[in-house]
Amino acid sequence: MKPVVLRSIGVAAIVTTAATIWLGLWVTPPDKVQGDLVRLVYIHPPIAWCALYLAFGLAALSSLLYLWRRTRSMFWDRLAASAVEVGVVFNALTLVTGSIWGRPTWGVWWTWDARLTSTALLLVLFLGYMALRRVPAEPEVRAKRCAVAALFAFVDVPIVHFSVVWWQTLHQGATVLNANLSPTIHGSMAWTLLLGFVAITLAFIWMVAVRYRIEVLRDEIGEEELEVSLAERRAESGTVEAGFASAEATPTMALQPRPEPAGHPGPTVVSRATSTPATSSRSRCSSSTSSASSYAGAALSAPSPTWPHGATPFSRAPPRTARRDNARRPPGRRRAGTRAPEQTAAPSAPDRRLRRFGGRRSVSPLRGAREFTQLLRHRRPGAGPETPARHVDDPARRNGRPRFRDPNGLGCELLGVGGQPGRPRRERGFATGTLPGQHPRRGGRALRLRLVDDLLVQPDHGEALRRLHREPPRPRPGRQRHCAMTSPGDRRSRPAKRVGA
Amino acid sequence: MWRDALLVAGKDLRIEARSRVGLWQVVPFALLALVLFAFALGPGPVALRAAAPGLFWLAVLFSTVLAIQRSFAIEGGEGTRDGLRLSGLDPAGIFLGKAAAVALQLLVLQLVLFAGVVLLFGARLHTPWLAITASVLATIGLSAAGVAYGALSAGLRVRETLLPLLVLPVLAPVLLAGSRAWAAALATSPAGGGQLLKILGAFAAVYVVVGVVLYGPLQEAA
Repeated sequence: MKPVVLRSIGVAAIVTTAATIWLGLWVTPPDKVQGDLVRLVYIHPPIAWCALYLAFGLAALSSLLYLWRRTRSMFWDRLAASAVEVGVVFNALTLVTGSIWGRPTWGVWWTWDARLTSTALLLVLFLGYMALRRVPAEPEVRAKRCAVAALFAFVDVPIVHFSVVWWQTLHQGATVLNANLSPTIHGSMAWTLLLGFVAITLAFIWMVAVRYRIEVLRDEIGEEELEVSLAERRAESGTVEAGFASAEATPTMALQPRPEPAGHPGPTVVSRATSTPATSSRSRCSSSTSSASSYAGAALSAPSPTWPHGATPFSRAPPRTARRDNARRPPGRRRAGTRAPEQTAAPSAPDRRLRRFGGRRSVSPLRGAREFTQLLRHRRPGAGPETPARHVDDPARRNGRPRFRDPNGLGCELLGVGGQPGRPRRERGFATGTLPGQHPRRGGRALRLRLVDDLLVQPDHGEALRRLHREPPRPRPGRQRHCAMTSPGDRRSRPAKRVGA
Repeated sequence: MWRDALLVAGKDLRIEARSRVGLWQVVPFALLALVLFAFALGPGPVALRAAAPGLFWLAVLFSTVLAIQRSFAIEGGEGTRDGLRLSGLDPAGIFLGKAAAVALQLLVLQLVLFAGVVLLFGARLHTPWLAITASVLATIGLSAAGVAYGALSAGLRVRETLLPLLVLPVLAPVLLAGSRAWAAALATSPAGGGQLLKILGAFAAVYVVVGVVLYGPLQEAA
């Protein structure tokens, strides 16, 4: 909506509301029975109409349109969110104005009238929707989840209404709320009421539009926030690793200098002090393997299993291909910015294969995601926290989602396999990617990754993912005789066995 | 779809039979709730007998939340949800299977609770068919809506607090109609029972249909 239109709606809302107040409070006559109390009729029904029909109807409609694939767009999601939020406010206002009206009329603030009860239940239902919306998630996941929740809540509305009506007619005599709205309403009162409806509806539209704009701006800021937090995180991870290295005092523990993003000079190169630039890739591998055994011992002696699969961070020596030299690349294809030039990786065999299938397009545009996919195949020494004591992270407590650090030191969480393969996206640290050499068109599976702001990530969950990946591709629905499900107990027994062996 | 539902229900019930979480945690909780209700209302037999149907259904409602949380805690294990998704099972089948497993557990729970109501509150059943029909319909509705919302909040870190907030207002019609129907069944004359059964049936039908339709997108979103 254009700002001019938005502003004019706002002005119109203010003008009509002012006119309603003036007419309602000064021009119209008081009621014979209710006296001045009747003036509440100019705002209470309009607010209720906006909340109960306009807002929640709009929310349900736009949720439905979001869920329908052909009309799916974030517009409907934002519209639903805005409508619900404004609707909840109006719903609360309905209850408040109704209570204010009810106290002098009926002598009580609240009565278990059918209409009151179902309005209150509606408020709670959509408060639940708002609570669900507050749960941090990727925008698309959140949109889908919230749309479903809105529909679930909406189908409940008629049932709630009828059950409450029948409940209270069985329970007690019906309290008729709307006896006040007699059909023979005074002329000026009728016009004021109509104006009240127009005013409140305009105010509603204006609020929803503004709220929608806030939602759009928030999403835009979210994009920028990602950039900023990425840079911060990189700088931070550089410091942390340097701290680890000095605490460990293992000179052979080679650490990679973190990339230095432009405009965010962090203390990234400190870690280089411990690494000898002349160290060859072989010796680094072996050194990390030798340190692995000592850490394996430490992990075994620890009372609680710090490594859920029985593997220590260094129990698997990274293959030779993990270390490559950017200098070998032709100058035009050197990767810039991701790593120090002498240590940037040349394309590996899977990398080249990947490029043949469409190159960058099929990999996540998240910076470092390509290295990340490589990391899944060959874990780089030095990437990830160094001491086993740091790994208090139990994947079982993280809903079983594997976490990794990509070569930039960014924590990544594997959200799942599948989604929309071949169409990389990035929204708020959410990315899809594929394993190298496994382009979706060739039967590979897409990965859904999320950037996590967490230092305690598992560097060696790649094994689980590789295992998952090696499994035969997804069977056609309806063919399989059994499903791949085990009780949690079966899984838990595994690390104990391996540690014991 | 039905075969998938049977598979999933069988899996859930087998896990339940082996772990016995429902038996040793949910059932004692429900009985404890009955006792606590009695403490809250005082020892007067008249008041307790009058409140028995409502308290029964309140206990069932709270236990439903626990059962749903348990049902989705099973799927919370390492990559189990991904496994379920990759297994090629029909989402509608998964939904029906999980709902059926929950429904069966809830029915057993209601039997125990009914015994508790009879023993503790001195309630006596005059129209058994009404109570049984109401229970079955309400259980279908409870488990369908509960599983739908359980899937909605599965995988969230705040699911323990979010699920009751989301699901309890939705289940309010079941509480209303169920307790009225039970009150009618416990009273000497079953007045207005048919209307209440209609509400329970409508609730069950709506949530089974909506769940079958929307479980697919929900599973993708989780």
